[in-house]
Amino acid sequence: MVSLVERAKSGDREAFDRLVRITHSDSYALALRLTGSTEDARDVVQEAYLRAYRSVGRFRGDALFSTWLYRIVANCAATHNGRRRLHRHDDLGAHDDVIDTRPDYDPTLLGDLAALRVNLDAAIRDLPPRLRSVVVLRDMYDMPHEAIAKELGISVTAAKVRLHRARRRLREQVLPLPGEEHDHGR
Amino acid sequence: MAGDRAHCVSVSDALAATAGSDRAFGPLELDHLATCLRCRAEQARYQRLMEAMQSLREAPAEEDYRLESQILETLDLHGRRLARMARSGVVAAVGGVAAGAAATAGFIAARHRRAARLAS
Repeated sequence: MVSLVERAKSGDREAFDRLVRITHSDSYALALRLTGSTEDARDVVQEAYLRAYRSVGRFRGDALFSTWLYRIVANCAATHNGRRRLHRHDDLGAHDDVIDTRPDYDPTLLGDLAALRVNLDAAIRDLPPRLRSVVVLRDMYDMPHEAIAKELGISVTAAKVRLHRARRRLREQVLPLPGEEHDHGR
Repeated sequence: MAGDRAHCVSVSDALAATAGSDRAFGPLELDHLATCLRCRAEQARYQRLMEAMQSLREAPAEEDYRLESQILETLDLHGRRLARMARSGVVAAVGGVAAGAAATAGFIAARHRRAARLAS
């Protein structure tokens, strides 16, 4: 990977194509988590690789290439989600309640990690994009608060507040405490 | 009782901020956590949530088999556009140099003619 990156930095298109082949699945997985839609994720990934190709010469190598790429994907997804929000008036606001419409929701299955993952995956998709981006980048991809804030164009404090809200919402929806089950429209 | 409830709210907030870790908790919060079953249950839920988040990252994502070729096509298109721009830039530059050279030659010729007229 390191030698491919070095070759790509010096303008070797073939090397960059190989980097695309190696990394595109992971980039797509992240884009899918951030956008919640296969169509949007595809657009985001294409845009991200184009940006990466234009700026790979400036990649300093003080982080892993994949980490650098994740930041570009996060930035493109933020731009994409922002554009979407401008054109979609029925988007969920950060304070709106998310209604759980999953028919197979069963609290007795919560002990099972596989079932928990399915429920969590659905709950992440249900989050408003501004909360979803932060919790995915922090809790799934271990990105530091400062990097998240920079790529999403928000302050570190705003990133922390959104993370707090997102975690609470996910926890209440997927692993509710007794008495919390009715808070989500069921 | 009201004090306990206030501690629950404060511990609950702290748990959301630390994703279930109590490493940064002060003695008051730790004392409360040691005795409050609800807060301990909430802490355990945050810890399971974090485990599930990490395991989601490792779960295989849905494949999109057309994506790789679409990315490479986008890069090709970008490369072709750059090449076209570079070519038109070279043509413009060559045209500019030729026009400049012609203007300079015309100016020098005019000066020579004027000098010759004055001399005669």
